[in-house]
Amino acid sequence: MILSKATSVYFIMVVVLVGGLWLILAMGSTLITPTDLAGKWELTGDEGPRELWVEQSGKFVNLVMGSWAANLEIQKDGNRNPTQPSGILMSGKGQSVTFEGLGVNDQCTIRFSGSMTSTYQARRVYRAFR
Amino acid sequence: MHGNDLILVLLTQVVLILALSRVVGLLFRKFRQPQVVGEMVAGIALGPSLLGWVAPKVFAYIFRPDTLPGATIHSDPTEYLNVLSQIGVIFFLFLVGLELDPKLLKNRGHTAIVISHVSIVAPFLLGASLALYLYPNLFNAAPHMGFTSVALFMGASMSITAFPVLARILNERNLVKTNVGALAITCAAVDDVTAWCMLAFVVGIAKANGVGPGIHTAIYAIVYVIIMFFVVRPFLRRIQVVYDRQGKLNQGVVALIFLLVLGSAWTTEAIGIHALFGAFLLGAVMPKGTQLVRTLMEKVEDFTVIFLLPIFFAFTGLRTQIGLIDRPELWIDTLLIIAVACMGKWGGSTIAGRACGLKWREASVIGVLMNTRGLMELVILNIGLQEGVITPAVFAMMVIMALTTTGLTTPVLHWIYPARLFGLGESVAKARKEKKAAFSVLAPVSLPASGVSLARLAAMLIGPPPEDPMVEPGKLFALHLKRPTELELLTPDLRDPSPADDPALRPLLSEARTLDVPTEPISFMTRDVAADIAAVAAGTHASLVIVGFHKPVIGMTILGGTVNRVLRLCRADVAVFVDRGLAERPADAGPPRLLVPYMGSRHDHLAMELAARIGRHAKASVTVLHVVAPAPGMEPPLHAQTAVTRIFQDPTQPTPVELRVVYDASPAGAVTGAAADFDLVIIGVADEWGLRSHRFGWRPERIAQESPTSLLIVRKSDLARSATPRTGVPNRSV
Repeated sequence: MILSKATSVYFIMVVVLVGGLWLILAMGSTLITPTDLAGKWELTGDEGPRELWVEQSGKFVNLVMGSWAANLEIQKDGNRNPTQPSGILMSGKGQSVTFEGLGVNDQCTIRFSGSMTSTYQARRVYRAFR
Repeated sequence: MHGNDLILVLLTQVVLILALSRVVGLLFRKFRQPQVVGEMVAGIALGPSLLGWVAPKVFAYIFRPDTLPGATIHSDPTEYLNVLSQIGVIFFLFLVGLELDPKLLKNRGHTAIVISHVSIVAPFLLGASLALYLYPNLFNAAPHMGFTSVALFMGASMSITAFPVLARILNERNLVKTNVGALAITCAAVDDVTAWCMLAFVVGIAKANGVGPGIHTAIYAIVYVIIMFFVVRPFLRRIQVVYDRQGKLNQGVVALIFLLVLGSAWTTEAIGIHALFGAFLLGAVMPKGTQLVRTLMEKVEDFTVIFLLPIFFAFTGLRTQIGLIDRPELWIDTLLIIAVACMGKWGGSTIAGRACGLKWREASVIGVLMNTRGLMELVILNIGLQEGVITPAVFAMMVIMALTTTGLTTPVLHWIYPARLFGLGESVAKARKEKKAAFSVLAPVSLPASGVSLARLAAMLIGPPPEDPMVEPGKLFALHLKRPTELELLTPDLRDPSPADDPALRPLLSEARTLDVPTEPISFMTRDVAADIAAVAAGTHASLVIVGFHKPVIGMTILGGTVNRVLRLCRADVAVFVDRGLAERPADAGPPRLLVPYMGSRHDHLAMELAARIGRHAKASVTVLHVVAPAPGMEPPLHAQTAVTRIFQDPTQPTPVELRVVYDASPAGAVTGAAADFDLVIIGVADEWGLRSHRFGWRPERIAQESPTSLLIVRKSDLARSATPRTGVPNRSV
């Protein structure tokens, strides 16, 4: 049986769709995304309670605390990648921040070093992605 | 919370949104972009990406007064905009479902189905592939951001085609009735259905936690679709019967349909496949091609498209933070997204079209058109953000992609498929092949009622068909340029209605038949009335374009706006007809009496030539009123008599021509004073149109407003003059 041009294209398209999608999903299942930190965090430390907003898109993180803000990039994510040391390290433009001991209860220690240096106990009170 | 303050804030926001969206939308139309692109841009401009960046305090004052110190409002007012925008999108998707006509899919063959499905599959796969790269970099380990959800969402969002925008572009470029246009619109209709089904699937996957809930969602969705087709659809048919019996859509029925829309949206939201799918499906199962649907669309359309959709655009703008794309690598990712989107949709459709036997150019046109994402993309992106499948930064990147691909469509289409390749429509193309008629008149009709007087005037100018068969007869080209309504844009009629059936032309055509004037109707959609009138005038070799004057809503000028552009663009001579009862003149009132004010310009010569034609054909009496500024010892100039003698020397002129010389410092006053005794004043405009000659620019305007009788304000074309030998009669700029 000779297929018409349109039918042939259609047949090829279905095969490519099924095969391609299977391949993509199979490859994607091994990919790891950075830990989700987005949302509002309440910090307690020597300087009293503070509020930290984390705007995150993958490894790109914007931190805003009052008038202070920093654009950082996640360098190491021990939470998602067991081969790396524990904790999440992000840095950029003379500032680095580490989230340590983050568990399912959304509590951790956040260490700032660089242009701002401080250590806080933190608890996430609002998750941007629920 | 102070309720009154909140209402004031909300009203301020809505007024600003509506005003800006109309202004920017109209501005974009000037640049040959669909209005909706401008409205989308206006929405983005009101958000943090522009207003919030340029004037953060103003932005906060208008949109987030709850964040200001000492605020009396303690809740986020944009949440109310969110509610309005969601309702707007629900009803818009209902409209999109309503316009979905299964007839579009019939008789289009395999080609349309193959192209449309390839135009979904190719970008879908490319979008999903792009997720392999973007996922580890731009997505978080959040509950709804699993790779499957993200990959399917990226694929679906790349596959979308904005049917309404595409329909508008096709209409505005008069491509609807071409093969390419019909194919594109069919593909877009298939895309619409597929895309919303796909979206329902993706949202279902994203929301379902695990296989069990996923299967539940799928089963509920299937049951819901079955109920819609086998229970709701027959019920809607019965409503159609009630409507047919009553002949009108009463408020009870409208309320019932609205309830069904909201109920259907609620059901799909509850099932877990998003409210929009429910609204779309209810529209899709409504009986098509019925008066009920048309009336319903008219009732829903304006409020939704004019009021609610701009709020959706603004709310989308409030969510779009282009500032989040704050690193070079993120901009590179944005460009990559745009490239993949174009490659998948444009490239995929083009290759599929070519594989199905279309020429490269036509296949590419289909590709460009299918690459239009517009508003539909914003809808799907908002769902993605709301469901937590994408991050705000990815949302901003995808919004830029949507704006870019939609904005590219028209200019690229102009480039690869210029108007000269498909012309202004069959009528014009046919007219172009015809030989130049002896004296042809192009009469653009705006209001159907004005057609009768235009036909009568044209008949007097053209005259009866010549007895000698060797002499080519004059012709009247009746032109109706339609500005498509949103409803028409959503329901492009692929059938080819004859221009003769155009209701706007019926009175003119009927009168022309009575008067035995050879007439050819031309009718098509336009986005630039003046340019298209000029193009048709050139294409039909019209000797004269007669534009009817209709009192504008704003302003008093007769020769401004579109008329002014027609005057500037037309190569043919142009006359503006101000009808003050010429059409109602009884047949037994005797021959018409014409007054031709004369001051010596070439436009006045044209006025005399036209008066001479009417004199010959309608046995009209002609009086030339030569207005001369009084000066001591001044003799009347001879050139008026010379011109009258030359122009009216035709032996067939049945009635004598009277030349009156009037000494008056106020030419306009002299003309308006004399006009009362005549049926029609034919008057030339300035030698140079516009501001260069205030006096002449002003004279016809004043006369037009004060003259008690009908006026024909004529202008000899500058463009025509360059090709016309000089008459030897002295021209005088007054």
